[in-house]
Amino acid sequence: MADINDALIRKVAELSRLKLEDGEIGNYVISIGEILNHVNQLTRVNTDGVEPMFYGIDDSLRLREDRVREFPADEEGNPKILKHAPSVEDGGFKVPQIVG
Amino acid sequence: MNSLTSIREIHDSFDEGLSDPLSLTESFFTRIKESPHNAYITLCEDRALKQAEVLRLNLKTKFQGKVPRASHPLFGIPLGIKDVLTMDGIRTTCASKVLQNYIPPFTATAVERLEVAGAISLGKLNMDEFAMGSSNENSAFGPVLHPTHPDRVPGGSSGGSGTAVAADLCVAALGTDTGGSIRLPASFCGVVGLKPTYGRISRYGQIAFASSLDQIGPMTRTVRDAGVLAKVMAGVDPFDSTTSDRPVEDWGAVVDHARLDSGSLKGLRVGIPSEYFIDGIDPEVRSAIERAIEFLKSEGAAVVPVSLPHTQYAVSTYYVIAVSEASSNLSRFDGVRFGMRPEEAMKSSSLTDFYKQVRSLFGAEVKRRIMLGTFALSSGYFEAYYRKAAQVRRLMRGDFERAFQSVDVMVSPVSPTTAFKLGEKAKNPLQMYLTDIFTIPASLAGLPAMSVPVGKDQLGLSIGMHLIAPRFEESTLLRVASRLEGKTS
Repeated sequence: MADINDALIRKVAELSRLKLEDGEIGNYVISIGEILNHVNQLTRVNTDGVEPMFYGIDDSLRLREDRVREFPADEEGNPKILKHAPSVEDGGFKVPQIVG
Repeated sequence: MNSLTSIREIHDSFDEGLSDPLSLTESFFTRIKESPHNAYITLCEDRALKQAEVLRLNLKTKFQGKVPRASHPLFGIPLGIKDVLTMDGIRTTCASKVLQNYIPPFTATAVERLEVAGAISLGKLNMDEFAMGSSNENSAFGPVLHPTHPDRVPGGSSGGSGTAVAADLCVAALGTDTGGSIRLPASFCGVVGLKPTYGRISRYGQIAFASSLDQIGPMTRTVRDAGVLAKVMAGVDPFDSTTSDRPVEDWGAVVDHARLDSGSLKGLRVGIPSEYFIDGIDPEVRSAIERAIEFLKSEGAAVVPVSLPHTQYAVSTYYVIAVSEASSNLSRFDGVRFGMRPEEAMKSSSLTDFYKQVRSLFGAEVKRRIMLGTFALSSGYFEAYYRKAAQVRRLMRGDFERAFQSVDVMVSPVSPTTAFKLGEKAKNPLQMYLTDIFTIPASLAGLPAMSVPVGKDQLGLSIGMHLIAPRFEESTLLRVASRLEGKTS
C-alpha cells in the first residue's frame, strides 16, 4: 500500500488540477493517510472471482431516441447556456489564450 | 410551529376557506426571514408568489373552492428544494463557491414533476458542499443550525432540508442521499426521510456527486407525505437512463390503509442485523430502537436475527467508490462553460494553471475527496482500491440478497448517536465518515431505506429508526413506518 507523504499529495493534487498552499499539504497528508489506512482493511476480504459492481443497476440502460432538439433560449432568442457562461464571444465560450 | 403539519391538513383548510395557497406561501416567507437557522441559500420569492397567486385563483374559479387532490396531489404545497437540484433561472450553488453565480437553464425532473402536481418552490436549501458531509458544516454559505438545539448540527448533507421541515420553514423538502444524506439529517432533526430504490426517481438536474449511488428523496413531517411526494417524482424519465419502469404504487393510499389496519404488520418478518447493534451505540439510541422493535412485535411482526457479514467494510468501500466517482464528476467544474472564473484565472499562463485557479474555490473537504478519488483511480492503485472496493460492494449486496430471503424488512438505528455539537467532528474526517456506518450499506446495494422518528434522548434530541427493504419495496417501508409513526415517541 502507498506511503502517503508530501510528494504523493503534491502529485495527486497536480493530477486533480488542484492548487494547494504549502500550509495545506501537511493536513492532507495526515487526513488522507488516516482514511487510506482505514480503507486498507479491504485487503482482508477475499474477493477472488468476484465480479466488481461498478453500477447502481443491473438492467441495461434505457436509451432515448437520438434526436436534435433546440437548445432552450431566453426571451431574446439567445441560448440560455451562453447567458450564464463566465465569458462569451461570437456565440462561443471564451477562455484566455493558452497556446502561443 | 404552524398548526397545519401535513398536505392533507393544508388541503382541508383550503377546502374550508380557512387558508389559500398565497397566504400560506406568504406566511412561510415571513417565517423563513425571521429564522436564525440559515436553512436557505436562495429564496425564489417572486416566482413562488406568482405560482401561489395562480393557484389561489384557480382554486376559487376553475376548481370552485375544492382542491383537485387527484389531478394535483401537491396543490398549493410550499416546498424547499435542496440546492443540488437545478431550477431554470434560479441560482443553484451546491453550497459551493465554484457555483456561487450559476443560473441553470433547465429544471430537474423531480422538481418539475412536483410543480406540475401543484407544488410551490420556496427556495434552495443549504447543504454540505456538493453533498459531501454529514453535518452541514461544509457549506460555503455557513453551517445550518439544528432546528431545536442551536449548538448542534442538523446532520448532512441535506441539513437545510432537515431543519427547514422540522422548523416549519416549508411543508416538505427534497433531499438527496448518496450514503445517508437524507436519512441522517431526518434522524437528527426528527422528521421522516425516504431514500427510494436507486433508479426510482430521475437524477436529471441533480448535480452529480457519485452517480452509482445518488438518489433524490422526500423529507417530510409525516410518513404519508413522504409517500405522496415520492409517488409524484417516481418513474421513467428519458433524461436519466438508469430510471426504472417498475410500476409505482399509490404510496399515499398504502399509508392510509396501513394506518387504519392494526393488523397490517401481522406476519411481517423484521430482520435485526447483528452487525448493526454494535458497541458504541449510544445507550439511549439503543433503548429507543429496542422499544420500537417491541412495538413492531406487539403489532404481530416476527422478529428474526439476520447477518450482514461484510458490514464492517461498508465505510471503506463507500469512501473509495464515492470519492472515485466524485473525482470524475467534479472534473466538469473547469470555469469554461459555467460557474465562477476568478480574476486571477484570466492571467493564467497555461490551461492547467487556469483550471487550478478556478478549482481553488472548492472547499477543503471537496478537495480532499477529489484527491482521494484521483488517487484511487490512478495508475498503479486502481486495482487495489477502486476495483477491490467494487468487488466488496458486490459481496455486500449479496449479504442483503441472502438476508432478504428470510425477512421482509430490516431495522437498525440510523446513526450510533443523536445530533452532535457543531465543531465536534469537523477536524476529524474519518470520525465524521463513521457517522454514516448504518446508512451506507443500503446505498451501496441500491436499496430503498427510510428514517422514522421513534423517540428522543434526555436532551430532547431526536432518534431515528432505520428501515431497509428489498429493491422496489418502498411500500413495505411506508407500511412499517406508518404503524410506527406517533406510537413510539
